[in-house]
Order: sequence, then structure tokens, then C-alpha cells
Amino acid sequence: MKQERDYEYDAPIKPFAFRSIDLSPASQGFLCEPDRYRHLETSKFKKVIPRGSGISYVAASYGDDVVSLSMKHFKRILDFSVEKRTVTVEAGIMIGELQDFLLPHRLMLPVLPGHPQISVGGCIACNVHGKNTFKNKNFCDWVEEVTLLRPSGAMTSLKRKSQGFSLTCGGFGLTGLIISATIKLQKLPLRTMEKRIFSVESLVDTQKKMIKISKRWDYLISWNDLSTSRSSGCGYILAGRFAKKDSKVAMNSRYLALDPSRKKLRFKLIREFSIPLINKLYAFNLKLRGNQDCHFWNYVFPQARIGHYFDMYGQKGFFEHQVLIPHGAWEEYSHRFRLLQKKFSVPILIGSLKLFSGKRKFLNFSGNGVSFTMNLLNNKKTLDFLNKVDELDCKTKSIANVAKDSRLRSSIVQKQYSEYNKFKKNIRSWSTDNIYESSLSRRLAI
Amino acid sequence: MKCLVIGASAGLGRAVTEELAARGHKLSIVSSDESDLASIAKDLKLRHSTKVSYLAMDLTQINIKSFLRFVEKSLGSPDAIFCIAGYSKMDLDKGPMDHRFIDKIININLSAPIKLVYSLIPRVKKNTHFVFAGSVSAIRPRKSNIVYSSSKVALENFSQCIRHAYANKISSVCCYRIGYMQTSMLFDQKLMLPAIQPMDAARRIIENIGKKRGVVYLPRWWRIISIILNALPWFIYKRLNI
Repeated sequence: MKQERDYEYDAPIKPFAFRSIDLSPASQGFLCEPDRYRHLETSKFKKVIPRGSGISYVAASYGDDVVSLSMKHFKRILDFSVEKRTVTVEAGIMIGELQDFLLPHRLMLPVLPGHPQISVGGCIACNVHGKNTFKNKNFCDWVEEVTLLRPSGAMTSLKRKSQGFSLTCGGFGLTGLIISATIKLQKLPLRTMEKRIFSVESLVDTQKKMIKISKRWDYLISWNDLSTSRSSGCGYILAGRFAKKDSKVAMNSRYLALDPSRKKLRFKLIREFSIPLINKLYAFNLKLRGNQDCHFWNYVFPQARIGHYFDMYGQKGFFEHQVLIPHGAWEEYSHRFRLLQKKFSVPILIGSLKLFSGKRKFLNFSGNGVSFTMNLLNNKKTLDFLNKVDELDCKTKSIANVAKDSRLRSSIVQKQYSEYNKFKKNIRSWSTDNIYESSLSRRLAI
Repeated sequence: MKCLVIGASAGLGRAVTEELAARGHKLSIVSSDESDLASIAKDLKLRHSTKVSYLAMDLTQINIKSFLRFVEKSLGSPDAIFCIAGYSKMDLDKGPMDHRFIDKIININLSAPIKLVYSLIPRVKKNTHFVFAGSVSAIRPRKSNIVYSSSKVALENFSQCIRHAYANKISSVCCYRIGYMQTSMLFDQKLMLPAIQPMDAARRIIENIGKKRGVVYLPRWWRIISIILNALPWFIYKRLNI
């Protein structure tokens, strides 16, 4: 496809082979990196999709023959008030950079996903969550206003109660280009985080203990050993809260940038036989360091230290499946899940739980329950296993995270999300010229 | 230091502006797009508590009076003047092209900097530094980017003429022969050599302020490329696809 260009004013475009972090099949599209406002015209493109840092698990920011409009140069802070505890930023700013700016003012973003490289625009478009969802819900619950560039070229300011706002939050960039956003902030009590690990015996035990201790801790996440079908699911709850006294903990904000296009090793370190060993090493490390205090920045961005983790799956990549299960269904879910794992004999590298609270809305990964995340090798056996897990998700009225699982089919999403049709209808009526499209929206038939 | 940056909204100019603000210098910035300038000014004020004044001015239609009024009001007499603005049409600039592009390239890269610098010279103090953003395309005439490289050669020459003419009036004049840089200008180009980040280039430029140099390669290893290119005999050079 040849894109029409106005040679005098357009930002340059180049053909680009896009990949997602999980290395799902590449898409051949176009990358455009405007660096000034007048280049942010989307109406001239046949198909376009906004792009933040380009590090989503699924193909949310690109598609075949789609122009991916990168916001990487739009990362300025436009307004900030310590008194009101609000910050207005351009959509391309990375949350790590923004949190760096807020630290000296003793403020923090109330919801922080695990990697500092994620852009604010990406956080809004996927309505992401952190490790404190049981307290602070999702990212968009703290967004007060969004400025959107509509396909017509008009800038629209969307307040919380407007229809466009709820469509844009968790709308996967299909409503328009997010230019800037105003976010409500929280006071950062101290920069030191107190960490504790609590041992758990099984998946069911993990949920019970997490609920029990959730009032006393600010952040909760678990690691469960599911490396083989014989593993008991034992592990640790990693609890974190702000310390009562600031201690001398060093902040290390350097990290290896994620880049799905980076060349991968032909040799993969994460294999069926190495998964139990990696889990054992991880458990040993947790036991050794799990109770040490650390800096807030390093606590909220644990993935910053594991930049090569995604590369270790080799050239085929991996699957991530994240599902939100109602509390009442967790016991049955975990039992059936383990039976399925036994049947398919699938090794799971990361098994992790988080507590969720919030309301279900459109295709947002939000609501009440327990979120269960797993990382798996990309092969035929895993695919068959995950297809069965999809059925289990539907049976237990659970929802899979659309922004994490690049193999989820439209039929499954329709079954799981009661507002799928409403979302689709609203998106269509909002964006009548239908120029926003990505591989994700095509796969989900939105 | 009181600094004036011409061409501050994107690429190297924006990086220079950000680096100067981070070092606490007082800033006045000029560029064509008001919305970009306003965002930069807000951002730098919040991040570095630096007051940034700005003037939206299209370099193809400069207004010397309003420019001088702006500089006088915001800075008085600037200590450092950075002429960074640049424009190219790489995909078209390989032969005869539309006259409006030729005019635009010449105006932004050459005419406007000459006019603006000339208007400032009578008003600056003895300790003023001038910085010009040239290009490695000035090393040896070549078949691609013809008008752009011609304008950059002329700008480099102008900077060195100024350096000579006002040797006793101006503290330093430096023109950078800038190599490949990761800006929108080269975004869709296949490059034979590694490109530097605008922020790294900006840091080097600001650290060099006050050093009495005429023409400087950025990065330095481009000097070696320059020696090689200039040493090539014509019958080989004419075959190069550069």
C-alpha cells in the first residue's frame, strides 16, 4: 500500500516490520514518528493507529498496511499542581520518567504497571493495572481528563462523565489519538518500601491469605510454582507497603529498554526442562531477598530489572494468559485448571495472583476477583492447553485480558465480555470514518 | 547564560533547548509552530524551573523588527545564539525540483540565519558565542541532497566569515558539521553509518561553548570519513552512491 503524502508538511513514514513483546506473528505496516503538533494529522491516512512505546503484549499499536503513529516525541509535562495533586502530560511520556519527575514532590501515580517504559497513552488505551488493584483499581480510575485528536482533525477534551471518555479508556486507541491527559496523583508517604514474603501452600491458599492480609499491605502479588503438572502451586505472597521510617535505600532507575524488534538469540534459555530449575532459583532468590526493604521506584517497576527476560524465550516468543476470576469461582477454577495442566503436561514459568476490585466496563480488564497470570512456551501443546483454558474461563464467568493474550479469539471475547457488542457499536458510532484499526481490533472484530 | 535558540521545536534544536534548561540557563526560543513552543516552555518551566520565552516565526517569512523586539524584551543581549533550524527534502532533492522547495530550503537553512545573525551582531556584547548547525554534507559536493548541502556549505562559509570579520567583537563562532542524527530528517533513510542521538549532540555542543574552534565534526569520527572522502580520486568518487 502506498501512503499519500503532502511533501511540504508531512512527518516521514517508513515501512516497518512490527512485533509484539510476546513475538506473535509480525505485521508489515508503516511507522510514522511526528515530532511537532502540525504533523499529528490522522485524517490523511486510510488506516492508522496510535502508538506509545510499542511494547504491548498484543498487536495493539500496529497492523498490516496500517500507519502506526508514534507519540514518542510528545512527552512533555504541561501542567502540574502539588496542591491539587494533578499532572497534565502529553501521551507519549513514559510512566517511569513521569514518576521520576513526581518523586522530589513526594507524589506518585496511584496505579503503576510493572515496566517504566510504558507510555501514559498506552496505560489509558489499555486501562492497565498495577499490584495494588485491590486498593486503587485501574489506571483510568485516576484519569480526570483526556484530550483526543478526532479523525476529523478536531481536538476534543473529554471529561470523566462523557461517553467518549469511557470509550477511550481501555479503547485500544480506536477512538482517536490521545494527545494529553490529566491524572490525579497520590501522596507518596515515604520512598522506602517495606517488603515481606508469606509462604503459601497452593493456589487456593494464596487467594485466602491475600484477602486476609490485604488490609495491612499496599501492594500484593504472588509467585506460585506451577513449573510442572506435579508442582503443588506453593510459593510466596510478595507484600509491600510504605515503611514507617525512611531508610537508606538506593534508587536504581537504569533499565534495559524493551524492544520487540531487537534480534533474538537462536538459542532459547527458557525450555521445558529449564523451567523447573528457573523456578527453583527464583524461589531461592525470593527467600534470600524477599524481606529486604527497597526504594519505591524499584519496587513498583520490578520488570525494569529483567529486560532480557522476554528475549530468553528465543525467536518463537511466548504466550501470556491473564484471567480475572470472580472470588467465588476461584476454588473450582484452580482445581480444574490444575487438572487441565496435568492432562496437557504444560510447564508454566510464571504463575502469579493479584487481587482486583473495580467495575467491569466494555473490554477493560477490571472488576472484582482474583487475577491469575501465567507465562508459557509458544508451541502446539500450549495452544491446545490454552484453548481448553479459554473454555474454563467462559464456564467460570471469568474474563481474559485482551491486552495481554495475543491468541484470544473474537468468539471467546464475545462470550466473556457482556459489553462486547455495546463497545463495538459505540466505537463504530464514535469513529464513523473508521480509520483507526490494528491487528488487535481486526482479530477481535471490533 | 542568556541563550537564544533558533529552530527549537524539534530534533537537535529541541535537545539543545532541553539541555540548556537542565543546566539552568535563561532561554528564548524561536520556531515556526506556536503550540510546540508553548508545550516546550511549560515543560521546561515545570521540570527545571527555567523561564522560557518563545516567538513563533516562520523562517521563510521572517520579521526582523518583531524578532529584535522579542530578543530585546526577553533576553536583552544574549550570551549565546544557536542557529539550529534546518530543512531538507531528501526524497526530492536529487535534481530539479519544485521552486517552492528550493526557496524553502535556502530560506530556512541560509537566508534566515544570515539575516537574523546580522540583525543581532550590532546588539551583542563581546562575550557572545554563536553556534551554527552545519552538516557533513558540506564535506564534498555530492549528488544527493543537492540544494540542502549547498545551503549548508554556504552557511558554514558564512559562519567562518563572521568569525573572521568580527574576531574582536564576538567571543566565539563555531559551526558543527553534524553527522547522521536520529531526527525526523533521516527517519525514513537507510544509513550507512551509525546515527547519534540529538541529546548526545546537544550535550557536546553546550560543553564546547566558548572553545575557540571554527568548524567541528560531530561526532568526531566523521573527520576520518571526511579525510577519506576528500582523498578519493574523482574517477572513484563519481561512482559513489552518496
